Amino acid sequence: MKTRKATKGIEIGSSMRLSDMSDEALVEKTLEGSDAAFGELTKRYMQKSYSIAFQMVGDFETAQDLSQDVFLKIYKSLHKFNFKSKFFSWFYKILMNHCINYTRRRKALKFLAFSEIFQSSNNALDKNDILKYSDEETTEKQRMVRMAVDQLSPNHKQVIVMCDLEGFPQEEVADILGMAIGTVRSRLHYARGNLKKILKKYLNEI
Amino acid sequence: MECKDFKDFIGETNLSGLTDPPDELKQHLRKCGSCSKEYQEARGLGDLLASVKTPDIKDEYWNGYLGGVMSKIKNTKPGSTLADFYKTLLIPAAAALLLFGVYFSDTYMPLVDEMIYGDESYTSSLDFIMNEHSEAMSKYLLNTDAIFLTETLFPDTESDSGTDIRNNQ
Repeated sequence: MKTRKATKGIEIGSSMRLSDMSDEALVEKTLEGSDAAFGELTKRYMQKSYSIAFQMVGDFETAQDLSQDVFLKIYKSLHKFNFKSKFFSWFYKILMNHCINYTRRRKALKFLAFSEIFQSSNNALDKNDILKYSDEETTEKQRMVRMAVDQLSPNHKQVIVMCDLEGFPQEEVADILGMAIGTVRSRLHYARGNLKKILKKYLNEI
Repeated sequence: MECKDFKDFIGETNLSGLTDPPDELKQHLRKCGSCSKEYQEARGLGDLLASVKTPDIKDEYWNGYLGGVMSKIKNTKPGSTLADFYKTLLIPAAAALLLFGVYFSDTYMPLVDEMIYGDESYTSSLDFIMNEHSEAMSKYLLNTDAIFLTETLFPDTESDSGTDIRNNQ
């Protein structure tokens, strides 16, 4: 199979399918002008990024908007990717920062009594259109858990979401957030402690 | 396993990974009441968080999602920056400003001059000065006498020393 060296030293086979290429090779191809390569990257990350955004903000429509905006941000910033780190670390870092910035703005505007801006519009995404299984009535317990997670500080929320909700290994989370593994574990320890306190108050359980 | 080892294990494991603990952990939990309590609390928290995982989404939704992303990037070049955005605005803005400046000076400056100097024959303030004080200016240019110029333009002015300038010629 003939290969050629791309500008960043990444091997790209001339007859390689996009689905067989590494993330970094797809970035390289996108910068050369291939929107199809970016489409492949989007397919790989869309479900996880949507899920993380949903866990960070709590509603389907906002999660869709935020995660799609992140792909646009990534597309515009591709020239800044230095190929020294893994693409997935860079991607998730941008996603987390975008979600945290949104939650901070939302809290600030709620404080200023502009909360109607963040209420679902009449044309809101109907979750029954997108869920695989019929949407059972969300229990009070589930609402309380979601509220408790929402009350955590951004630093605690992001480690709880990435480790305990989305199942990322702690070493990967450390790489994504650019911190030592000890810091991740410390934040996780305090985040779990705070979550237990909040939930004990609401649910009288745990 | 000791209590410290148990705490390290809890700290290093995601809550979803506590459902099937290793045998040595199970043995320790049978013997240690406080670690057992802590383990049960961690399991309880894990179960609560598992109940609010993102629901499964229909496959067809993702086609629309992908289409949404691709339409957003359609009119964007990869790697475009804020500087590129400003460049696209800056050049037309500068051209518009230049054209406006030329139009404004040609059309409106004579009107401004008329308003200020009240005489249509003056097309610029320099013309005004030259015409009003032409005798003084030409004498100044011939004699290069700044005192004479001062006297002509400001006949009542005295010098800083308090004496009449005219008397100092």
